[in-house]
Amino acid sequence: MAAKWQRPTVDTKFHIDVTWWQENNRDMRVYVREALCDECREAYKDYPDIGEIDAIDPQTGEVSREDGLMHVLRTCCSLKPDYITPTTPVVGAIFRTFLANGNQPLSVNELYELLDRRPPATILRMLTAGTVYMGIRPVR
Amino acid sequence: MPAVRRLKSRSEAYWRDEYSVSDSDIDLVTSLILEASKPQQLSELAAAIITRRLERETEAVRFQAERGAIYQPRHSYEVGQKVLFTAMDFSTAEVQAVRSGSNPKAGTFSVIRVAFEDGTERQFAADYAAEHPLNRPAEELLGGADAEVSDDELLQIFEPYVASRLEPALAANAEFVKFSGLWFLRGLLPEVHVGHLNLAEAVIYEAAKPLPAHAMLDVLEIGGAGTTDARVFALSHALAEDERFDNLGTAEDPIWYMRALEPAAVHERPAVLIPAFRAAGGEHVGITTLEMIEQVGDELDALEGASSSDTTTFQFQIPFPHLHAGTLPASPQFLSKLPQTNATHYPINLVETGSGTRMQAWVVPAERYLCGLEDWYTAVDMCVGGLITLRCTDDPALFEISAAPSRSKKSDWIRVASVDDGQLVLQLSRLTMAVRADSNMLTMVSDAPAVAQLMAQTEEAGTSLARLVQTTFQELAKLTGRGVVHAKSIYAAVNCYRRSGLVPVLAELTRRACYDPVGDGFWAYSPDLEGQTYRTPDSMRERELSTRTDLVKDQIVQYLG
Repeated sequence: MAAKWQRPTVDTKFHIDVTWWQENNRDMRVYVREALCDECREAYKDYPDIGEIDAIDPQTGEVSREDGLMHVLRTCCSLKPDYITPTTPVVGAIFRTFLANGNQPLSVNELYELLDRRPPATILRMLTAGTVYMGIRPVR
Repeated sequence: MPAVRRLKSRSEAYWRDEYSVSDSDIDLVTSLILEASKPQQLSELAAAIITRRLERETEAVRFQAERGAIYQPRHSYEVGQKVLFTAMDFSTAEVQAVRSGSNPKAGTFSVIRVAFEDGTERQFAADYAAEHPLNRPAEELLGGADAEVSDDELLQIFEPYVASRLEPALAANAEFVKFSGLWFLRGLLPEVHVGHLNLAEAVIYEAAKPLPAHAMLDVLEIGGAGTTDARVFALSHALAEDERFDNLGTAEDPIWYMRALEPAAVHERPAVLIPAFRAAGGEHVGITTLEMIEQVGDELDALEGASSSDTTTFQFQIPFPHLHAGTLPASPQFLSKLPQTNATHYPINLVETGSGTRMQAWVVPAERYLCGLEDWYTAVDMCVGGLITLRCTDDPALFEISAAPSRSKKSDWIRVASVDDGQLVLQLSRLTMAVRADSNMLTMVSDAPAVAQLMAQTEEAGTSLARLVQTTFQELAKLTGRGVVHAKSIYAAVNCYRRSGLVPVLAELTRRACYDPVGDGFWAYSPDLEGQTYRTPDSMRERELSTRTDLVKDQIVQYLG
């Protein structure tokens, strides 16, 4: 039975829907690369496709296989102050927020708490007005 | 960056965030109670759980350290080698495979795949020389003990976390039984049946005084197999479950009495005693009124922590609510003279000065009153404003009580309070008083239930103290030729509307321009100044708005108890 559609609210959880990128024949990794800091962009310039890497846990030393691009973004670039700046467009800032947290779903209210940009109702309108920006959609 | 990995059992975060009661913990608690054969405090049981974990973990680390290498990312490992992972709850695993690591930013390193004893496999970095907290010296990784914190201190810190989880776990387990913070095994409880309880009731009635559980054991012949502690616990537990009985002692030393023999005010504050206006400290009052406040002895005027003289005699001028409820104020000074106990209520003995008549009264420290004096008030024909004295004796649980007899047997004009159309009505009647009373407070209440009902109605209406002072002043002024009214008379009348201390009444009189002190505690009223107030101590003293020639200026002080 199909799930009943419900109008998203400020408490509805959103995330980056990877399938949206595939369906629209767009490469999300291009956008992820754009979010890399100068240092990482330089370090990975010889790796056009980083692929999976062995990520080392900074506390336990445990190794896990992760997407290399996402890993460096999460563990290095997203921690830098210019990762999201006041001039970063709101949707871009939301996209980068999801990249930084490993694409863990967040509600508009939570995004507002993190970003402090535009009222929750405005953010909700931007994400649900019709056009899907950067694959950011409610979690189904 | 975390510098040193602590043993998990030495980490507050573990006990606070992760710990849950295990079956093994319940087994430990069971064996502790069995071994002691007596009820145990929750804190003792929690401490035992923590201690065992501390010991076991320390032992495990020592054992594991002896038979395997300590995992550090900078080291190399071989297939088949046993490794102790300090950051993984000090678990041991065996290396299954070694491969090259792949991470451009991390440089060259290896990855070992290890199998833990529970069968799970994980991968860890090796040959990784970069900065990492686990690359610190091995002795630091194993140095679980914090030299600055002793095991005893750890127990104190962790015990509340464990106790708060252990208690519901024990409560949910039918094998355990609790009484006043002590836990015991139901299977070890000697049987206490309804016959025992009925007999206990008879024993207490016959003794006519509270009895400790152990004093009833032999009479009740409760199962002799258990230890005395177990028998006392079983009896106390059964008595606590029966609403007829009331524990007047503590968890460790229960003392049992019959609720039916206790005044109702022991368990619930009488409605007439619900405080509406009490001293908060800092009120502005005239310096000459401080003595008046002491004379009245209202518990609502006593401030916590206020210094006071170390008196052994306590005097009261009783307002209507206490008279009606059969209670007396119990100030912090008076309470300090009583046997120190954590009990919520307990009896003391009173002996009437002169007659030597003995009676029992009940102290309710939290409510700051003594109760159970109804019969004595009736016997001595007590009135509002009656003078009552309590004196300490050599026995801290025995006090002398006296109500001085009236000096004259002649009748006199006395205020009589009644209620008419929701208002307090005061009239003068010629009456003869049995007890000596403060002439300014002295009031006979012709229909006490009606006044109590008036108090309930006034509470519901939420009438302000300012309004009550004005109403009672005008009612009292009718009875005097000069139109002046004593502050104590207002206090007594206000207490027929709402329960109030004297200090709030005095503060109201002092700050409002429509009232002026005219000496000896009397106040006059100027209706044209209604609504105007003085805001500073100087203006309250000078009373610039007053046109009275009989104004008596009083130095203004802040009330500090």
